[in-house]
Order: sequence, then C-alpha cells, then structure tokens
Amino acid sequence: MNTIKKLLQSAGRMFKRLFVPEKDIRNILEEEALASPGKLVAKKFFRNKLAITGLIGFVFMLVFTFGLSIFIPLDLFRTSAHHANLSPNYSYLNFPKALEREGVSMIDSGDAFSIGLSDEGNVFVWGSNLEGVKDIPDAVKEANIVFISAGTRHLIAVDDEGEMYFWGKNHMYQASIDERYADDFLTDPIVTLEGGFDTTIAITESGSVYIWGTGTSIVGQPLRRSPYQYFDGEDNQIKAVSAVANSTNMVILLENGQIKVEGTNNQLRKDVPAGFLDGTIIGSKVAITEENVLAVDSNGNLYAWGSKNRYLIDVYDNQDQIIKYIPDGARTNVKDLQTGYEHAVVLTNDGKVYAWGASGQNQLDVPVTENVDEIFIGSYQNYLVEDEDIHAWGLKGFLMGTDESGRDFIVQLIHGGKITLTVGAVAVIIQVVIGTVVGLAAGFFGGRIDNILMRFSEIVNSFPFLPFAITLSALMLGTATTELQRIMIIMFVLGILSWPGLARLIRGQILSERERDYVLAAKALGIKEKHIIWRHIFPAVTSIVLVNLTLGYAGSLLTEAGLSFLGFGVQKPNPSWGNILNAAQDMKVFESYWWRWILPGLCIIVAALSINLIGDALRDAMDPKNMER
Amino acid sequence: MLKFLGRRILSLVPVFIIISIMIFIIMKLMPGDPVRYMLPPGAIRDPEIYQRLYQAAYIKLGLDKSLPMQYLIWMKNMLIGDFGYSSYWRQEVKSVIGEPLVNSIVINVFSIGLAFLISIPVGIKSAVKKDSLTDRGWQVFSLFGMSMPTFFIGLTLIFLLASRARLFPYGGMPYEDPGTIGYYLSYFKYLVLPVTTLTIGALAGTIRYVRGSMLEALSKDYIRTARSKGLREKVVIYTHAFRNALIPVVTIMSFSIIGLFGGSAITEKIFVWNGIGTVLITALNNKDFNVVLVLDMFYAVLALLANIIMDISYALVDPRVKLE
Repeated sequence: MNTIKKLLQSAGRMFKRLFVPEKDIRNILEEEALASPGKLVAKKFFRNKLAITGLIGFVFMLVFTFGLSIFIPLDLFRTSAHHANLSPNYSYLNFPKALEREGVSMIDSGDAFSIGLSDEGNVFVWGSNLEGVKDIPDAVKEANIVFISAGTRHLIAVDDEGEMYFWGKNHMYQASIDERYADDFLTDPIVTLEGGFDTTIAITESGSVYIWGTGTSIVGQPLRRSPYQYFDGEDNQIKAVSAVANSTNMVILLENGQIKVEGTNNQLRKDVPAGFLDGTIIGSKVAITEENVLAVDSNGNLYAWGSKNRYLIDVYDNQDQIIKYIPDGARTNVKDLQTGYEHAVVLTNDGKVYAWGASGQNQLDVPVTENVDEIFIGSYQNYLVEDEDIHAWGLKGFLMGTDESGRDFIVQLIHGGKITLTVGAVAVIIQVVIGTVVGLAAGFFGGRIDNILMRFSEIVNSFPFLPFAITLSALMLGTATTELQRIMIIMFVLGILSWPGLARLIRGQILSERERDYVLAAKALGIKEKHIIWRHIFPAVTSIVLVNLTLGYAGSLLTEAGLSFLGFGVQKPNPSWGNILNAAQDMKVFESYWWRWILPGLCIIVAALSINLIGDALRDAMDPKNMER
Repeated sequence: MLKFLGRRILSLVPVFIIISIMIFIIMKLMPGDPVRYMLPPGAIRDPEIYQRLYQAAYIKLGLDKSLPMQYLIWMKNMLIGDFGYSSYWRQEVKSVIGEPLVNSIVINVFSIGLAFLISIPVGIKSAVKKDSLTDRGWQVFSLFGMSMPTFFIGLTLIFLLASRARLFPYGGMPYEDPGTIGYYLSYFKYLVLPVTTLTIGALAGTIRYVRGSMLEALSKDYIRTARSKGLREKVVIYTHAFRNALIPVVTIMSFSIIGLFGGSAITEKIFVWNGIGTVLITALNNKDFNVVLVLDMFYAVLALLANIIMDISYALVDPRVKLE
C-alpha cells in the first residue's frame, strides 16, 4: 500500500512539475543586477518547462514539414487504385513467426495484406484488415488447408477435402462460388482457383476456364461468355492448365504449351511471341502484371511483352540502342517466375533471385539473392524462403494511411504543413510590419498623423475579420492565375486585415515612452527623429512586437486552415492542412476514413499549441510584472 | 447619457460611410457577371429573347447607372430597408437573409451567454486559487481551445456525439412545421452541437482574459486594505476585486460579439445551420453581390454597434468613466 502511495506521489510531483514552474525567488534581484535584460529573458524563458515543451513541439513540426519535404518530394500524379483509402498501418511485411516455425507452404499477397499457409495446414493473414480479410472464417481455422490464393481484396482457401472457402471483399461476388456456374462445377469440379483483380479464376477438370467478379465483362469480349472454353480451328476443345488475369486481360496456358491472351488491352494480345501461338515454343508458366505478360518456356527461357512503362521489357531508345531492363541472369534457367502488380521476380535453378520492373514501393530490394529455395511474390509485398527462414521485402505499409487516390498521406501532410506554416508566417510578418510602423508613427508624431492613422485603423478594425477574409479571398482568388499568386493573396489578405490591434498596442506604449526622460535627452542632443524612433523607442516595444508575432502566428495558422477548409484559402491540388481537412465534408471520409481528417487536424493543433506555448512563455519572460497572465 | 450616445453615433457616421464605400468598391471589383448567373446563357435558345431578358435583368439590378450613382442608390435603399434583389435565390434579399439572421442570432446569443456564464466564475476561481489543480486544468483546457480550429472542434463533436454516440443529429435544420412544440424541441436538438462548438471556441480566450484581469485586480493595494480591514474573503473578491476586473472583461465581451458572429460562418457551414454565415458563403460562391454587400454591411454595423456598447458598458461598470 505504502509503495503504491509513494509511487503515486512521485508521479503526481512529476506531473505537477511539468506544468508548475518551481518557484525560485531568492535571487531575482541579484540576477537583474548582473545580467543584461536579453540574457535575463532568455534565462527565464528556458527555465519555463512549458516553453521548452512548446519549443520542442515547434521544432518537431518544422523538421516534419520543411525537413522531410527535402527528402520526400510531392508527387501528385503518382496514384494507385490499389492503395486508395488505406488506414495507417506499417506492418504489411510482419509475417507471424509461427508461419516460419511451422514451415512455409505458400504465401500470396493482395492490395495491403498477405496470406500464408504453413506446412501444418494453418492459415495466417497479416497486414491491413482491408475488407475484413484478417477475420479468417472459423471453418478455415479448423480445416486442414492445402491451397491458398489472394485476390486484390479477397482471399481463397481450399482444404484437403476439396472444400473451398472465400472471404474479404465480395461486392461483385468475387468471394463466392458464382451461382450461374455452381451446377457446372458439380459435374466438372474445379481443380485450380486463382484470385485476380477483384475476380476469381477457376479451371475445371475438363480444362474450362471460368472467371467471375468485377469487370469480367470488360476483361475481353470472348470472356463475356463464361465459362470460357477455348476451341481451336477444328472445334476441338483445348484444355487449360493455368490462367492469370489483371483488370483488362486474361492469359491462359494450355495443356499443349500454347499461350492465349484475351482482353481489351490489344498490345498484350498482339505482342505474344509467335512461337507460343504456333507451338514451336512450349510454355510452362505464365504471369501477368498490370500492363505486361511474362512467360517461361519448357527450357526455362523467359519471355516478356506488353507496355514499356514499367521497365519490365527490353526497349529501344531513340538511337535504336537496346536498353535491357530484364537482368541477364533471369533470361534463362528459370525455375520460378512470379509477378506483382508492377514488377517481376525470377528464381533460377541455381537458387539466384532477380527482380526488375517498377521500384516505387521498394519491391526490387531483394534482401537475399543466393541459395533461395522458394519465392512468393504478391502485389507489392514479397517473400522468399532461404534455409527455412522467411525474408520479406517490398511495401511495408503506410504510416499515416493513404488518400482517395492511393497517395501516401504522410507526404501530403508534410507538404501541406510546409504551405500552412509558410502562409501563416508571412501573413503574421505582414501584420506585424504594418502594425509596428503605423503604431510607431501614430504614437511618436501624434497630432494629425495620429488622428488619421487611428481613424484608419478603426475602420479596418471594424471589418469583421472572417467574413471579410472570406470575401476578399473569394474576390481576389478569381483574379489569380498561378498557384503561387493564390497563396500570396491569402497571405496578403490575412496580413492586412489583422494589424490594427497591434498598432493600437504599440501606439499606447509609445505614448508613454515618448514622455520619458531618455527621449527628451535624445531630442536635446539633436538626434534625428528617425533615429530616436528606431534606436531609442523601438527597443522599448520589441517585447510587445515579439509576443504578438508568436501569438499572432498561431492565430493566422488557424485562420488559414479555416479559410482553406471552406475553399477560400489555399486551393487544391496544392495541399495545406486546411484543405486536406476539407475532405471531412465528404460523409464517407468522415465516417470511415478517420485518418484523413483527424491527422491534419492534429497537425494543426500541435503546431498552434507549440507556438502558443512559446508565445505565452515569451510574454511571461519579458514582462516581469505580468507573470500571472 | 443620451447626449453621449448621440455624439458617439454621429462620430461613427463618417466611419460608416467610408466602410460602406470600401465594401461597395470591393464588391464592384468582383469578377463575374451577376446577370449571367441569373440567366445562364444557353438557358434560352433565342438570342433575341435572351438579350431582352438580359437587359431587363441588367436594369433591374441597377447595373446601367454610373458607379457613384449605383452607390448612392444602394445607400439610399439600404437606409430605407430596401436591400435589393438576390440574383441567386431570385427573391428579395430581405427575405433571403431574414430567417438565417434569426438563426444566427440564436446560436450566437446562446454561445456568448454560455461562454460568459462559464468563463466568469471559472476565471475568478482560477485567479483566486492560482496554481491549484483546477486552475492548471482550466489553463491547459484554454490553451488547447485556443490552438484548435473551430471547425475541428465541430467535426470532433459530430464524430463523437452524432456519428458514434448518436445523441444528436449531424447537422441541418428541423423539418417539423414551424410553430409547433415538436419544432422547438427539434430546433433545440439541432442547436446543441453548433452552440457547444462555438462556446468551446469562445471559452478558451475569455477564461484566460477573466483570470488575467482578476489576478491584476487582486494584486492591487486596495485588496490588501480590504483584507486587513477584516472583510470576508467573499466580499473582497466579488465586491472589491471583481468590479474592477470587469472593465477589461467588458472589452473582450464586445470583441467576442463581433468575432463570434463572423466566426460562426465556419461552424454554420459544418452543421449545415441555415444562418447568415452559410448564406454569405453560398452567395460568394454564386457571385450574388447584393446579398454579400448586405451581409458585409451587417457585419460592419454590428462591429460599430459593439464599439458603442463597449463604451456604455464601461461607464456602467466603472464609475470613474464619465460619458461626456
């Protein structure tokens, strides 16, 4: 009991110390006598724990935005439908240790998750719980599973008795046995299942290919008629042994080694090497990526055709020089060929691994390239087995989720913060410059100048801030042509509407300073007025200016966020924390994709809170009489 | 008192005129043709009929006169309460902003009232028991409140209380027949979240302000005198200190009237509350200049009125201030 009490007490003391600065009155007078005012302020400032907290928070925000933006460029055009609206998760590659222990039988990956099957028949799913893929059905857990496959967002498992299990996304009935064909499968049972791009592909005992799910009607004309049974010229049905599909095309490997490509992407159909069609090359394995088809023949030679965009095939440059993207070692002696969405990986008979293609998600960074036993390549998540150990590489996940176009959200937060912090800073500098000049002039010269300036500031002050900021932004944004202009306008509008308060404060301070003896002395010495203002009087108001600068900064951050939220601030596609938050007005985003509005909101709060803490501490440090405020 | 009021209002007249001219100029600089918004080209096939209708609308909106003339006509109409015709809603501006104005006043009065009902006792308590746990708690609260954008407070409240707990509607206006008891009950239900949002936003600043001015008053010599006379602590705090602390509080109160009315635009937008803020945003998006003009003038007049209210309340709380 006593120890708990002691623990609580010490925790309480710690917490108290965090917020309550410890009192130290004994030598304030001594210090004042010794140290210069600047040093004294700095000392007081750094003794304040809240100030340090604020400073750390602000520096953190600066590093997060300005620092990271140097290393992570903003690429608004790189989008991926596969990664749209993924929640924050960085564990796509964290396979369960139990899988390694029990021995890997198979691994396959979908959009943001992977499924593994151990030699003991247990199924594991890791990564993001997209569409409930991690909720493995109880029947699967109990059964002795012998086969698994992952579609983009659904999973398939088959047990030793031939029972098929589906779970995950089922919006187009891809994760179920299509009832149109259910009767066919009674007489002609399924022998192979394969998860595709929101589709499921089945091959039956007789060699017919069935495909169902999203876009099966756009996969290509012949496929509208499911089941797809390929007939040769003499109407003899030819048997398929394996089939793979992406969202536009399906590639079928026939029993006699021919390769048939069907679908809407004509390039994939046209470019099939002639040998695969006339039977001079016997195909033994086919694989498909988003825009390419790859195949291996019975001698272990590799063939690839399709789009040039993903660096998956050799291409000719402008000078007719060939650029070899396919690694030389991968061209022959192929033991296994597997593909992700944008890359291909080959395992050769001597245990070497070669990867090539697009590299945006680190999918080419193979950790072990020698003595590899097996490879399991999925979407962007890859695994290989070397001496019973699993090595994973590829897409680790998205620390802060993704947006509706599949862009990494952290990148937007970084660059949005950069704009928000800059706009706020420039706006507050404009405000402080105008406010200081007007206040100084009015206070020092007095009389008519004072009168005019103060009337003017009264008028500006009578403009209610937000409605006028909205009105002015709406008006001026219509005239802006470039993004930079728009951002400048926002800074300008925020700056010119908020200076009167500061001007009044400074004027008041100057009025009292002006009557001081040192000003009289300066005047008597014949020092120029300009000099008196800047050299003698201005330093007396620096504390007001500095405190206003910080507190005003927090204020203009919030205002920019509000304006951008309404659509009158920084405009898309340039991100700012405010206009990223704008997405919250979409009910779906608000309800389901919480990270897309809570994270930018938290960023704003952390930034504004840190700045407010610094401002508060500055005020306390600079004005000894004002300790309590 | 009346004499002072008259003079103060008179002194605001030039300010008012300058503001109105500036607003008018800003509006006139606005790109876009309001007539085209009213009569989208292509709506009427026959170009001749379109031209005729266009001209009619052009004259109806008074765009055929010179700018100073337009200003004078507009000013005259404003003063006699004729606010013109809205090109977006296609009805008199008066009827466009009538109901939203009432709605806006309701949420603002509720939140200003609540903010002060809460912040004055809290501020006093915080100042009297400075550095106590409650004081620190409220300080942290107000720091967070000041650092949070109002719309984020609103979104969080909707997320927690409407979406998850399902206690209140997401936003919008009651759909029952106006005037019935059901209408008022439902109106209240829709009112809770926007008012809470605005109150939290306003509280943060006012608590700190009340606390600060209370602390300053408590450090004065007359408090020591009052205490040494043996007055009860309650009397010292509420009669001696608080009366003096009220003066700056009055200032912040009048500022928060302006600030809240202006700032409630975002809150109204989030909660789909049919207030003048929502109307202003819709009007701006649709280049409905007449409505924008009237609303901006309303905000400006409100600001000027708040200044007068501030002066009068100074005199009420501080006998040293004489209204001369």
